Amino acid sequence: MTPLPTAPLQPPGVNTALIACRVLEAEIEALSTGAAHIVRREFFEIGLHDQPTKLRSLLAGAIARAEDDPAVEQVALAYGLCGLALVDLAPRRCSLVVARAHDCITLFLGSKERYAAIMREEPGTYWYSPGWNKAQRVPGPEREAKLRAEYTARFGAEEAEALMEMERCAFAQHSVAGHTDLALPGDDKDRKYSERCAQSLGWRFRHHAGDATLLRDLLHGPWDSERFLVVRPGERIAHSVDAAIIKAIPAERRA
Amino acid sequence: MTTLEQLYQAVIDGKNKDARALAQRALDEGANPGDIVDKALVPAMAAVGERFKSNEIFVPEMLVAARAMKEAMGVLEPRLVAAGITPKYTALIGTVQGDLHDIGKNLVAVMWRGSNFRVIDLGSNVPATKFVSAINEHRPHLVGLSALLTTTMPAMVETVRAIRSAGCPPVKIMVGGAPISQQFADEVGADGFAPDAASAAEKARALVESA
Repeated sequence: MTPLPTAPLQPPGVNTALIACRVLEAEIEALSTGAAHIVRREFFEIGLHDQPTKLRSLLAGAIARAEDDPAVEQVALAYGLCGLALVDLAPRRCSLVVARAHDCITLFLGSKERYAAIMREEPGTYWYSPGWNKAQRVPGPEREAKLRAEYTARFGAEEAEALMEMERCAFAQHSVAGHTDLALPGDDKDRKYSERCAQSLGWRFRHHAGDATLLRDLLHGPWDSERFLVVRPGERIAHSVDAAIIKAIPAERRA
Repeated sequence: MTTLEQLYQAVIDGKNKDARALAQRALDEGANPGDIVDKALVPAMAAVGERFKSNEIFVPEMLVAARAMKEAMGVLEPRLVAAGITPKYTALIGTVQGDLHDIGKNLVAVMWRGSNFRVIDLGSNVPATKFVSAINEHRPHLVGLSALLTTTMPAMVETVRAIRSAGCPPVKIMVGGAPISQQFADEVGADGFAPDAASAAEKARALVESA
């Protein structure tokens, strides 16, 4: 476990607007206490990767708002590719920094390589984290109760049961509840909750200790090209179907 | 409303018991089982697909409709087999290696079955080599590759490459899944792409009929 830094590692030279998913809110707050260079923060609700077009449009709006603020020199996005939501985002005035990541789990685990290695070893892993647990998005007793109530109201009890069975089938291929966190105060409760979900689903439980390095560096630098993509004005984000995950291309060119 | 019209509506509304009973009633009234599929079930699923595309309904509604169609097919299949009516085309389908999500793939399989395909479902997390050996074994007209995650898109690239380079019998390849686009399909050398299950049925028919 990489200890959380108590202060930025390098002088906060670049005034940054942070745009982030609430799934990382507690972790970001813990890693950026007293970081005066983060001059704006905007968080969006959890789970918008399910609606990537909507998420893309929300992020584009947030980037534009940040760029309208003369104090902002750089925009940092605490997101992964998130269902291709980041594709086509293009800064107008500032540089845009984003981690090379498929999703937030990379930001918890500290590297895309570690994430890929875990998934290669155990492709049946379904991920849990404190933010995901609090949003009741993860498979487990609370999600089941919430969905059953919703389906019963929409389709009646019998169809609701059939849909719940389909829901169980949808997760039937998974066999591991992989929990990750940055060991913040209170995270142990969420770890126990994930463990309970694993038990109720008949899955194995695995705790993957988080590594704050990548998220910390997104907030404070350095932004080396191996781990981060820096998109300049005149460029936009494109998907790269390889280990780089994302690339910057001229804004007017086809990907 | 005729029995076929009622069956059409029951599938759209996801009324699985009604769909089963109406399929039986249509048979009892002397309808040809092939006609029941062509005139009620296929148009019903196409209508469901259209509503899904235009955001009038969402995945749960699509799933209950697919279940109703399956119930009706359960009544019709023995009669179709007895009458020697077999699907005209064969398709393989599977989710690529590393990807365990199969809701989308299952919906496409239902839509293809309703569009005169015999569908062999290889399941999820299917290695490229398994696709290749299944193509050699079943000699399908079409193979469908599904991926939900951007993390597994490289496996889709690898699977298309493996099928193309393995000297398999000629087969059309379709790709689909949330992060997949026409541009990606073109880049990897797939023959077709569909953004949703309803379009996947139309596209599949167009691909095999043009072959």
